Amino acid sequence: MSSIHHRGPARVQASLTPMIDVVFLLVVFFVAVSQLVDRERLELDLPQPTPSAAHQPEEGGRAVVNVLPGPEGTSLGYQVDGRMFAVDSAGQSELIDHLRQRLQSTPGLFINVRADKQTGWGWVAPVMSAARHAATLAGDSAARVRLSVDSGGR
Amino acid sequence: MAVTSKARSSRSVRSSSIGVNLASMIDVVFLLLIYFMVATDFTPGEQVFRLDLPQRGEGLYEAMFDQAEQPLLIRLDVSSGEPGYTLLLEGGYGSPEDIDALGRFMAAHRIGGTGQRDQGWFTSDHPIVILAKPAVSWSRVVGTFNAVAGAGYDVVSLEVN
Repeated sequence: MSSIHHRGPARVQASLTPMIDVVFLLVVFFVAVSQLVDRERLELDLPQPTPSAAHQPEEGGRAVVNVLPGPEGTSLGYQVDGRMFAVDSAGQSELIDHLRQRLQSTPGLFINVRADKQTGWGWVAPVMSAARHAATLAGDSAARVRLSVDSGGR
Repeated sequence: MAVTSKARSSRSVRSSSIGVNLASMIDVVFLLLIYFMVATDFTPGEQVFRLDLPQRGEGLYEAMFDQAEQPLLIRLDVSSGEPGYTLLLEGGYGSPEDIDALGRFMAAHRIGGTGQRDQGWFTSDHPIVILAKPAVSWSRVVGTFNAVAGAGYDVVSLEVN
């Protein structure tokens, strides 16, 4: 003789704990990613040579130097790792010191230079000069510089 | 005996409730996958030109390139007329009218390049230095660099002083 046990309707319940775990993980992830992106890459109108002979950047440590555009092809300063450096001689010295520290802490570091296409060369050249001085102070034979360009979505 | 049977039944109920719920993990994995796909589409693509800036020696270009060859100097200046800049190749190589013409010239005169056999003057590792005036825009400097690199030259640098 068979017997039927009536257990009542199946209990459907949403467990909030794993959802909260996942939401917090995602929040932390997005915050971390957005900070990294913001600190490294400012919104700049990079040069876009066509056809471009540029290539994808190699893997490795990098310090990204953003040349902030000013009016009429000038620059308002340089930004590296979220820090601002003035375009005067004091700012130049601080930039050299900062890059030297980065070079010493990360052997083989690349220095990526990002500048707006309208910015005058006279405002970008000090970054190159600072990179070379920093490499000399860090004991490197040469500064490994990379010029960032817009790939046009490629 | 009845107590033992009840205890066994209780244990089996407890052990059957332990399990790994894959559904939430799959949810998260799909969310991350979608995020990365979207982020990849919207992140502006950047490429780079690589150049090394060696320490300066006493001579003007002695330390820049460890080669016996004199570098080919390309002077870049602003001008009021079209195309808004001037190019000059030092050493009597002339003045290309624009960056495209510079690229064609450099490609034609590279040994093994696009020109005729007797037109090859420079090897692909011939050092080339771009000397730009401070007022020249960054896009012109990069465009000149791109033209020379695109013509097949490997040792291209910028004069930064």
